[in-house]
Amino acid sequence: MKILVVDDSKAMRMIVMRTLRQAGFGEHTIEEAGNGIEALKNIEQKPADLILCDWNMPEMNGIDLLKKLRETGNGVKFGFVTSEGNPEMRQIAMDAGAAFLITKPFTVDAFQGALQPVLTS
Amino acid sequence: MASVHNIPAPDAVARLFNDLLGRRVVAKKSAVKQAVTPRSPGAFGLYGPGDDQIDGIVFCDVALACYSGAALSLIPAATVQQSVRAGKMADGTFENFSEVLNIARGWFDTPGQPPVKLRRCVPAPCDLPKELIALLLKPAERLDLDIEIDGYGAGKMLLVVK
Repeated sequence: MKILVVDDSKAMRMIVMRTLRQAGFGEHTIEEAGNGIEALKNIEQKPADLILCDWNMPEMNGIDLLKKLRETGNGVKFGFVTSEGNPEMRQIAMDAGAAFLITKPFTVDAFQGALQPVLTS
Repeated sequence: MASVHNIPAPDAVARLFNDLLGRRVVAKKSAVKQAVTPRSPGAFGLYGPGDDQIDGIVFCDVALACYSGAALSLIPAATVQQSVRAGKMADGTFENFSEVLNIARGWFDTPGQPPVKLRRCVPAPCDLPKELIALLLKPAERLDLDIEIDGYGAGKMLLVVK
């Protein structure tokens, strides 16, 4: 199973990947991208099973990436990992087809709680 | 006049650092208020609901900015001590520290008010517009903190809101 981590902060990508391993998802292939455009290029090469994506990024932000995927018929499982998670943003994310939204700073428990149901469904 | 924005409790500040850095962090109110100016070595985070409306400022001295930026990506403490002694952050450490301040935006969230975002992160000494200098000098609320990051060291933070 391939998990793609999308965030414009290299340090944050590293922390997300570390948390994935700590949460017990380390056996999956974990790849990274710095924005939505890079993410699209990445999954063109090999489809992802889950995308964990920041909201605010240069070039192409997270919600535009999700909309682009759904417009092109790509139903990849998608979750946001972002510093802002007000009810309005959550609604926008869910309406666009996201499975969950995790706010930074996050915990291992938050990752397990959000990802486990998605990856086992 | 009371501020329309929240200012966090010391425990909330410590909790964010703790969760983000994955190590024990202690934040205590400082015994003495810091005299922070744009010429103070460190970094400023400028927060507001819009790019042209800054309602809150976080200042971290060089030590706290370096230690938190380094701890975020597990740069060894010994490596960053040189920057602390020199009073200047390396580019990579500053980028990491900016991410810490980006995530800290939630400190200012107040029910019924539009969410604030980190609008700019500025290394200091720097120039700040006069209205931001006024905010530093006469905030509606302020919080002076001494923060210690386990395994790295201690530094100072000032939070102010309009």
